[in-house]
Amino acid sequence: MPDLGLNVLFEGRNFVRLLGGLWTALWIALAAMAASVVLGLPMGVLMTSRHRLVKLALRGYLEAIRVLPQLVLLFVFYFDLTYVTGVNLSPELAAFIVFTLWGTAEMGDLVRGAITAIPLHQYQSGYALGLKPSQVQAFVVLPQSVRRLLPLAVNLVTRMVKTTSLIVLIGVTEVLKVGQQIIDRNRFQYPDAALWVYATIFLLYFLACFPISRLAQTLERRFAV
Amino acid sequence: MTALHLIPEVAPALAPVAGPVVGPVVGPGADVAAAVTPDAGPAARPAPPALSLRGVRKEYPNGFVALDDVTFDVAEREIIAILGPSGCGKSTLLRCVNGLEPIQAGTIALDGASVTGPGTDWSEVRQRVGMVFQNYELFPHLTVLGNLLLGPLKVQKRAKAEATERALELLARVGLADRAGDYPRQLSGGQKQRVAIVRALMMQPEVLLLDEITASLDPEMVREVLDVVLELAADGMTMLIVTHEMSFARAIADRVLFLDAGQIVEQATPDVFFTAPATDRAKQFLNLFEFRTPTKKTASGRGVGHRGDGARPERQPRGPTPWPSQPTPRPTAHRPS
Repeated sequence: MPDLGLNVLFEGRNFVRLLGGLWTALWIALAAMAASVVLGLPMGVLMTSRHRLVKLALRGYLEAIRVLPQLVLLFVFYFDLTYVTGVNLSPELAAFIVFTLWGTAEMGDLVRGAITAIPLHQYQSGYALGLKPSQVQAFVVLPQSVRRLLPLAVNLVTRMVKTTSLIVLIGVTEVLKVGQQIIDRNRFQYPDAALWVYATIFLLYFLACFPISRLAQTLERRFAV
Repeated sequence: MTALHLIPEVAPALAPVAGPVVGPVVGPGADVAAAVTPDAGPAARPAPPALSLRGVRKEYPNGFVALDDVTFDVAEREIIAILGPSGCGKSTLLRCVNGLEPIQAGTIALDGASVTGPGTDWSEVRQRVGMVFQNYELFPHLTVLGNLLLGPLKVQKRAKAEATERALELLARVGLADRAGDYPRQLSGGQKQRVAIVRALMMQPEVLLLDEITASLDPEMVREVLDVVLELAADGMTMLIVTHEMSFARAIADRVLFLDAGQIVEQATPDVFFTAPATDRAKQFLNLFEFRTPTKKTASGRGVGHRGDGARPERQPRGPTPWPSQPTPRPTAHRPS
């Protein structure tokens, strides 16, 4: 087995380093997702509010986040923020903030959708039993919304994990960056290292995202009404 | 069928009366209310009607008047069928009675106490006035038992063991003893509607509102649901029934209210209403449920095919009824299937 490019992965601590990079990406995505859930739930509830101004403001926020590429947001928060305010964020923190802003907007929209998808008759059916509005929310609307929401939220996690591949551009040493380092370091010993390293990264992303994606499918089927 | 006691709580102060008890009737159809049977003994106090509506008006923000000066009483244990063409305000009427729709004028009283004031505790009123909807509206995320227990546990704060026992008892009586752990999606339409009726009964209501409860069901499932309602009637439940099942209405009702364009046009005992309706509008409405051979020989000169042009000479006399000329409501039970 002479000169097989695959061996580059087992030079030194290369494979462990790749896993470490993946962990950095996952960690940022999951932390941002957790924050997005916490902030997105009230945002979604507020988006169903009757106050026109509240609705307009949240709608505007959602659309603004949606039309901007995540990469632009990352640059704005990492470079421009420092330039304007002098606050120097670590790249990880900037990534976390941007992903949370994005996730909150998406999550809020998902929550809004899940709440408005509950038919009016379900509310009335609850009221007809004598349930108070808060009880209808707690025992009828929220449980059903969560069931609709869960598969969609899990899908958002996979989107976040994938989008972490951008944060290499503001200097976070995540899995892609580690891969490039390994490729550059071994350019002469393993000329085809790129093939193997990127294939491994592909596999790592797959292993991270596929179970999450399957979980979403399972939840969707389980909660189908 | 008599000893089922779906509603043992209805132990009336009054002796059970044999005939239909017709409350004081006011309104356009007052003349037909001569059949009042003051059958209760002289010692019986003049109990207020179980439910009383006075001049109820429902107007939507867009100016559409759904109910206009609706006035009638419902005596305890009385069963009223509310009939009328689609959009006449039947369902709105029921929804106003338990506060799902606010009314713009008039009063609604339960046992003589008005529930239309600003300080009305609708939660309390709705426990006393049960409602069953056309599309069952079971809670899809809860099992059958969960659906039945939600109100008793969260609203009435009853003990779980007692409420569960009661739920299983009632389920057994509507023939669904083995479905307590199933989810609504696992049930047929008829089964769902029977569960929905039990869910309303769990709150031990004084009055039950049934809003076209068989309108979404396949014909063969209509029967099983109506049988449950007949049992409730035998047990003395006070009911307001909006239905398009004419033969059912005739069999079960003590009184028929005929609504058109938001007004009570006619009220009468079923026998009178179905054999000799007093108003033209009621006659026209009842004609929708009659299927005759499509000849021009009709009593009123307009008959079934009321499209205006009576002439359709080349039509086969024994052919199927010209379907497009049958407007809603569809006579589900009478349709040859």
